[in-house]
Amino acid sequence: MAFDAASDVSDEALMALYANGDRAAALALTQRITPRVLAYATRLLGGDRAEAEDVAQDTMLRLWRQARHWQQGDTRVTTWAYRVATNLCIDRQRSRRRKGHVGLDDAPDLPEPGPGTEGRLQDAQRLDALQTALAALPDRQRQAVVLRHIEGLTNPEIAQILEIGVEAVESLTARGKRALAALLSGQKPALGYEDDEDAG
Amino acid sequence: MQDDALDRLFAEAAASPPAPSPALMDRVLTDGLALQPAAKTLARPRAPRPGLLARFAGLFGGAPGLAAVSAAALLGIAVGYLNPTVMDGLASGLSYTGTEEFFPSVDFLTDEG
Repeated sequence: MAFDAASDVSDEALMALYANGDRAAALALTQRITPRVLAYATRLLGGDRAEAEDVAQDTMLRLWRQARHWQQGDTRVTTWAYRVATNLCIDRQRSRRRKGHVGLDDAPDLPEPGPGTEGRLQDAQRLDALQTALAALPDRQRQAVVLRHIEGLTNPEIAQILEIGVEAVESLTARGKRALAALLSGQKPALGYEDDEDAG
Repeated sequence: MQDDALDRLFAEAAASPPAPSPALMDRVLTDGLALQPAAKTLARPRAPRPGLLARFAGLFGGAPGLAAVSAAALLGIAVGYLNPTVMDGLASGLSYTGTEEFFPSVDFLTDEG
């Protein structure tokens, strides 16, 4: 039986199939979970692609090992994977800080507003500006904001992932969003929102 | 920056996630297949082993054969144990060659009146 990433079979059912030796389930889980974990890790790790790939592979390695012990109904596979990825990213960030490689003050400067007005360049600048601003947030705020506003998870799901209460999630996302708005407020030309604001 | 502008930026980021490289997907899938538990196969059901009586009957070609052999054995035992006089009587009974008239007269069938 073949499963693609858009199949109706749930992630949890795929875990059971994988544990029973179904090779197609291994492929489907790879296609479904890896991109999400990679995107999340990339945003948590300040855009460091190589480290994010390591985190994604390590998360999936733990998922494969967990499969035979997976209890249906315990938790969602994606929630579990996000939680593992969060912890792996925290470990890497701590390791970096111990080595003195990156601190909040070392975050790259926000991009200078340039004369380029080409659409793709502007898009890239906007996303770079967001990534840089996210990197300047405290870890917990960054995790909550990314999960809520970019990965599109619900507050209860985020609470499970971060192992905190729903109210704490709401507080983290609200504070994170305010901090991002403040960080990005000086970047309107780079973000391409100058005209919008003027028009409004 | 206003909330709606920030929300648009989030939406833009959500719509363009960093795509995994084919090499990463290959590594993940290779790990997955290497660590995958072996497929469970259902064992073929074994036919139930025949009982002792059935196996014994099989030596004589099945139940009918066993019945014939048993009858012959019983007859043999009977022949061995019964008094020879009785046996003679039985034998003479089996070999009776006299005639009996079951319809002493059939004249009534042909008589008129």
